[in-house]
Parts: sequence; structure tokens; C-alpha cells
Amino acid sequence: MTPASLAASSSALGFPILTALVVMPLVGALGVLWFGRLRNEWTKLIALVASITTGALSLWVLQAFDTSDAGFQFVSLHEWIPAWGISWHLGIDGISLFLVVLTGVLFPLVIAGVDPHHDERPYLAWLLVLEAGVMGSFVSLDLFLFFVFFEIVLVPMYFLIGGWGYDQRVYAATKFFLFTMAGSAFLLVGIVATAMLSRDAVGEITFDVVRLAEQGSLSVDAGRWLFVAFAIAFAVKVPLFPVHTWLPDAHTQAPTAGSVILAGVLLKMGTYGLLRFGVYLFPEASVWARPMLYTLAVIGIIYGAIAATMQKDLKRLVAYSSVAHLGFIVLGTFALTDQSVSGGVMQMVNHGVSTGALFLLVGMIYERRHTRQIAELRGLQQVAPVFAGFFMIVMLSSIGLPGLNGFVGEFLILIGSFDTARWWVIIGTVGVVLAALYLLWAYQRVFHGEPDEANRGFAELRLREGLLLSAFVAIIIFTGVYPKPMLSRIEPSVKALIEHVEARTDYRQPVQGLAGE
Amino acid sequence: MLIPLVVLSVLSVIGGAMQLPFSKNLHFLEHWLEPVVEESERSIKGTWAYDNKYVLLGVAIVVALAGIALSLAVYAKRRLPAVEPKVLENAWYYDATVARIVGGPGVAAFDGITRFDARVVDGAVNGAGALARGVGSVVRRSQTGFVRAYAAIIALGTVVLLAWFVWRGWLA
Repeated sequence: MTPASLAASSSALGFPILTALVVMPLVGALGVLWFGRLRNEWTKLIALVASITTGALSLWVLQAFDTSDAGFQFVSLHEWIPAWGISWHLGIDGISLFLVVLTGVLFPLVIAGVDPHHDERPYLAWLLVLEAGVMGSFVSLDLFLFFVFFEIVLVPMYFLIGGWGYDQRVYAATKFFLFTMAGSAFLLVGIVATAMLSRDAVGEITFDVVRLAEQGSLSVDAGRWLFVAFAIAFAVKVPLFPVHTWLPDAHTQAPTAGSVILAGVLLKMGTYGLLRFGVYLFPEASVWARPMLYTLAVIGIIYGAIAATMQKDLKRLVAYSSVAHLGFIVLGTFALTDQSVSGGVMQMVNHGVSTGALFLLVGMIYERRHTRQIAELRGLQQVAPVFAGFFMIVMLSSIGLPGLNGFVGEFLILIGSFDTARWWVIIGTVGVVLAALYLLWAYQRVFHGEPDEANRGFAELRLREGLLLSAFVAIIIFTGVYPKPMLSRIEPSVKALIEHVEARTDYRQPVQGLAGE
Repeated sequence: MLIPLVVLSVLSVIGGAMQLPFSKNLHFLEHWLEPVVEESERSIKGTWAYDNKYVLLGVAIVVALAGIALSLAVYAKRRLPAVEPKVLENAWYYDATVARIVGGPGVAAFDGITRFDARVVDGAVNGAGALARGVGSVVRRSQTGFVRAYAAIIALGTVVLLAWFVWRGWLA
């Protein structure tokens, strides 16, 4: 298919909604910088309007999304640098849809719910630039464009951690930046090489992901090398063992909003990248690399959980739990069955919601007690029962309790991966038990018992905090009880992706169910 | 507790009644989790357990009969001493065993892995940083700012390169 026919086949929508999703936060950032200087009290209002508008646009996309279309929708395709085949090509399918919605919803929530301690104007501006970068990464269908957004994201995050973080913020910010930049170097080489090596098969140089995936035919060796280059960049972002150590530092030192965004959507750029630019562009190499990725994923699951168990800092504990949760997502992604990949996509969103909420809760504890040390917290349940209740629901969702969102994704990943990655699944399931161990043990130490002098003054949940958390809990419970609307939007695109892999390799998805009938 | 129980029992009666063959439209509960479990509802036919169901049936009956015989011997005839009261009093020693394993070697192993993460994995990362800094602090001394020194180094480099070319015979 040529780009022109692709654009024609997508929804005939006049308004370039995806472009608006990317541009709106940028306009907001400029507005914050410009008008915020004139009138200080406008700063937050402008940031809120920009992020809420973006969120509303993303919800409109969700509502207008056509479930019967497995391809890319709302496509916006314009030439940018035609000499190099670089275009402004945006589009979403069931795989990126909920990540876009999550991004759209999460940003206004943290902007409304968490205030910085100083310098509100640059803080909000960076946050909005970050939103534009993340949005752009999730809707880009051009490798060059994706790389630009992928890199843009680093800059605001670096300043958010370094400027508004805690004691070791500069160390953490530098580490985060260097780690990701090192990964990005591989990504850039991979992107350029993919476009160059596909030149003969496609007929011209293009960075268009859809054309490269549909028409490109790389040799087996080239495909594998390029896949490795892409995978290294995304493994850092996910993060996979052993390139994960930037994460506990960055998460712990970042301001609360930074941690929420980092866990909520930034890590998903890695898992999403593995799916969109790994599996989709290099099907043969993805099938080939599966054992390696299963192994790293399962090491991440067990290792992250064990490290989380022994953390003394509550925020570090949540950070390490992300390593474990993201391991499940990578396992599901490369198990390459309809169920496992759907579960993986769903779990990307679930983890964003529940870990985001956990970081908010830990942030609230820090605001009140100025410590995150588990040993210094005790008996909070007695003095702040409502707070404890919210913490409990969010924590159970992270553990994967049936009836809450975490369960659905985890269950789909495990059952979907069982046929293709049996032994890894069996080991990985231990991680489910360990999740209960580290979170319940932490809950017991922080919330149970008699509060001592320092903890007796712990303030109960305030109205604004309660409203903020209620939004998260509503998503947690709705997805857990009724996952159908979400899965029916994810599944067609996942099925199409697996068919894409099956058409280009000798991999065949095991036939599910109905054995012996 | 009474009111919650009443509510739950009424709801479960309704839930059950909906599954009665009144109307297919009322059966939506069984399709509620469809995308999640639909494809994984497996038939047990064709499995080892299904093919050997009569053997398993026999095993179950024999085990049950043996249990009855044993309890008669212990409690009705008092031919054997009862060993289980103490075990049951301690709940099969399950909690104690778990606590000993988890609390002893379990914590030690977990602590070891966490220390491995902080020292070895993160140590390698910070080590790479320290290496770069160390190399930089040595190499930067060559940047003296003396133009004549730079010129001398360039001249020396040219001579070395020329010597190399001549030696390899590239200039011949």
C-alpha cells in the first residue's frame, strides 16, 4: 500500500485530531511561559486548560475509535523532508489507543492534584512539553519522527527530576539521561540503517513505519542486528535487567508528578516500542530473539520483586515493583499469542494507573511525614483510615487481585504465554506471589500497629487528594470488573500484528482451547 | 452482619435464577469475562485424567476406605496411638515451617540479591562513570593551551604516520 491509499482508507476525518493532541500541550507550555509571566495566577489555569483539552481530545478519540478496523485510524500524513522520505505520519490503532488515552488523562490529573514546591511556571511548562513528547511517541508512524519525540521526552524529564526532585536529584537525573541517551544511540543507528537497507525493497528511502513493515524485506542477519539495536534502546526504557538501575534512582528522586508520569507512561514507551518497532518491523528477529527476551523478562519479574521486598524506602519499593511488572509485559509481548499480547497491552495501561496512584500515595505520605523510610512509619491506619483504604485498594490492584484491573492483564499474559513460553511462565508466576509479599509486608509495617508520637499527627486524606485518587480507583475497579470494552478495542490490532508475524515467518500461534473436541 | 448477608443471598438467588432457561438474553453473566477467558475454556476430554477416570475413581475409593479403616483402628479399637492431635494443634506446623524458612535463609537470600543489585549491577554503572571521569582527568592534562606544544605533537604525529606508511610500502 502506498501512503496515499493508506491515508484514504483511514477514517475520513477533516480535523487532524492526532496533530492537535501533540500540539495542544506545546501551545499550553508556551502559554504558561508567556502569559504566566504577565499574570502569575494564570499559570496554573493555562496549564490546566491545555492539559484538560488534550485529555478531552484523547477521550474523543477513544469514543470515535472504530473497533472493527484493525489498522491505523485518524491518520495524518504530510511530507516533511521528502528528500529523505521523512514525513509527519501519525496514526493510532488498538495498541496505542489506550496509551494515548492514559497520557491524556494522567497529565491533567497530576497537574491538578500535585503542586510543585517552587518555580511553578517552568515546572508546568516542562510538564506540558513532556506531555507533547510522550503523545508524539505514541502516535508517530514515522521512525524519524518517533525518534525526535523519543528524545524530546528526555529533556523535560531531566529538568523535572534535577530541578524539583529530592536530595540526590542531580545524580538521579544525570543517570537517567545518560542511560537513555546511550540506548538512543543504538536506536538512531538502527533507524538510519533500517531505512537505508530497505531502500531496494521499498523502492526509495523512507522512514515510514507502515511501508517499511509491509514492503521492506531485510536479510535475516540484517534484521536481527537491527532488532538488537532497537531492543537495546527499548530495554533501557522499559527497563529490563540488567539496565534497570537508573529507574529506582530516578523514581525515588523525582518529584511526585515526575514519578507518576515516569511510571505511568514513560516506561510504556519502551514496551510499546518493542511491540511497534520491534515485533512489527522485525518479525523474523522477534521470533528468533524470544528465548532471550523471555529470560530477561522473567529475571526482571523475580529479581525486581526480591529487590522490592528488601527496600527500606517506600518509594524505592514501588520503583522496584515496576521492574517486576514490566517484566510481565515483556513476557506477554514476546509470547506472541493473541491473549498474551493483548494482556501485555492492557497491563501497560493498568500498571500506569495503579503504580501512578501508588506514587501519588507515597508522595502524600512524604508531604505529611517528610520521610519515606518504612521503619519510621507506623500505625497510619488508625489515624487516617480513609487514606489507608485508598492505599489498600490501589495496592491490591498492583498485586493483581481479581476484580481489580491488575488481575485481568496479568491473567491474560500468563495464560496466553503458557503455550509458547511454558517454563518461563511457571517461574514468572512466582512473581505474582512475591508481589503480594512485598506490598502486603510494606502495608503491614506502615499501616498496622500502634502509631507512635511522630505518626499520631498524620493528617487524614484531604478533599482534593481524595478526588484525585477517586479518579484512579474508578478506573481500577471499572477495568477490573468489566474489561470487555477495553479488550475489544485492543484485540483486533493485536490479532493483525500476530498475523503480520505469521505471514513473514514460520512461527504459528498455537491453536487455543477446544482441545479434543 | 445480617443485612449484608441478606443482600448477598438475595443477589445470589437472582444470579442463579438468571441462568435458568427462561431467555438467552438473561445469560449475559456467563459471557461477562468473555475476552479474558473465552479462548482458554478448555475441554478436559483427551487428557490423561479423562482417559483413566475409572482408575482414578478406584484410587479415590481405596484411599477413602483406608482412611475409614485407620480411624476405626485408632479411635474405635484403640489399637494404634493417635499422633495427629499435636500436629493439628500446631496447624500441621505449616506456619512455623514457613516462618523458619522465610525468616532465615529467605531473608538472607533476598538481602544478598538486593546487595548484588546495589553493589554489582549499579556498581558497574557507577564504575563506568568513574572510569570516564578518571580517564578524563588524566587526558585533560595534555590540553595545556601552549600552541607550541600542540604544534610539536602534530609534527610528531605526522612523522609517526609517515613512518607507518613508508613501512607498509603505501607510498612506494
